[in-house]
Amino acid sequence: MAEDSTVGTHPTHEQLAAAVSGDAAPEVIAEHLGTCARCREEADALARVLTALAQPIPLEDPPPLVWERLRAELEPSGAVELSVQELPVHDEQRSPASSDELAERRSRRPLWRVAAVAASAGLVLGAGGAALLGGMLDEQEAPEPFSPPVAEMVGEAALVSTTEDDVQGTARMVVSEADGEQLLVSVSALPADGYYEVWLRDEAASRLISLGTVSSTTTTLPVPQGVDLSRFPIVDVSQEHFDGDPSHSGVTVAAGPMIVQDGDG
Amino acid sequence: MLDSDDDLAQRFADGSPDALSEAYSRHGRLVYSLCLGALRHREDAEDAAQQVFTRAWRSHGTYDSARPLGGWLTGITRRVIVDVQTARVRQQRLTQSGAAAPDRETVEHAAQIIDRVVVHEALERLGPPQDEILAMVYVQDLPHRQVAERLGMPVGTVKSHVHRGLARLREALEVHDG
Repeated sequence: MAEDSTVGTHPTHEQLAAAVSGDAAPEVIAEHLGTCARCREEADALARVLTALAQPIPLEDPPPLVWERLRAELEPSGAVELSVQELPVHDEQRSPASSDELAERRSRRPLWRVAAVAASAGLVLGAGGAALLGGMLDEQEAPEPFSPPVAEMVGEAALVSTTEDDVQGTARMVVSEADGEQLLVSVSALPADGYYEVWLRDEAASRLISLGTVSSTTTTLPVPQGVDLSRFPIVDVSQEHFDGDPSHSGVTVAAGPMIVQDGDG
Repeated sequence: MLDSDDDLAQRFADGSPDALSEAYSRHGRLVYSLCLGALRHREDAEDAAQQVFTRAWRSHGTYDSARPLGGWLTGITRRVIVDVQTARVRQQRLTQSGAAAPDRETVEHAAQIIDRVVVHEALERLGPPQDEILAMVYVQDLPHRQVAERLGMPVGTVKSHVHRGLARLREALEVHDG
């Protein structure tokens, strides 16, 4: 069915996957996509798969309390099988058929844990890095059930004043199982003019990620998952005006590079 | 076998007593990971996951067992996530009047998170050697040749596993599309 595909006949799912992944792009498939909405939809979905694959994300089983609460909530209705005392687990789905590294890498453990380990090893990490590290670290550490949330230091930036307002401060990035990566910002008194926003950016300030606004004391800001600190190494505090413009005002009051923490330091 | 809901879908639709715990053990990981990824807050994700299964169980009568159970649960999960995000926005805007709906960025972000969780969860379920091959090619970015050497299989075989695996992940993604 595959050999004689022409513009008129649909390519197989595999042929389409080969074309979208760039392993093969026969003219005939390109032409077909130009005329066939169904296959174009399939190609779009394949493109989403490729995008998603390149951005690993931690997968976790819900903690036991979720099932306990669920059962307690539905119990009065008598609709739930209560003889099931044990938590439903589905690890048996993944029973290692062989002890090779493939099976090892599929062992399921919370990636946040990996993130914490990676942080303590002094590595800059994003979600992708954490997932890759998962593969490397699996063999050494497999703490189950996972330990209580502990925030570990990822790095620290000294914020140095860049205007005559003399704003000083520090920004500490920590990672914990409970909250993922967070930036704890403390700055000296800020001039009461407009408001202040915290950014991660590159040296040239051509790429910026807004983390949120900061008050004059200590503020904790969540860091979006997957931010690569090697691409956004500078912490920047900008003075913003209530003008509704979401971009950086161009006025940095304090900034400094994030120094990634050493594992034993 | 792993991702088929065989008769579970029917038992769930019928409200048979053991179906909830079985659905939870098959799909709890996906549901919880979706909540965790989109809400980025552990307690909120726990509450949301609980709510998904509560809603699902209470409305089992509306579930069409011809549809995959996982996809139906993902749909409920999307709605619960939006509800939590809406509640957050409302809380933030307590002092202001105006529409309390998550902004477009939040919604788009959640959609991407859902794609990522669905695809990586489906990847886990693919089983060897496709899961491993796809992870090497697309997560670790290794060239086909290197993957072939590591696994001791011809490059052509690696490629056809890649294409077959991608096709299966695409199916999974479509099953979970709202």
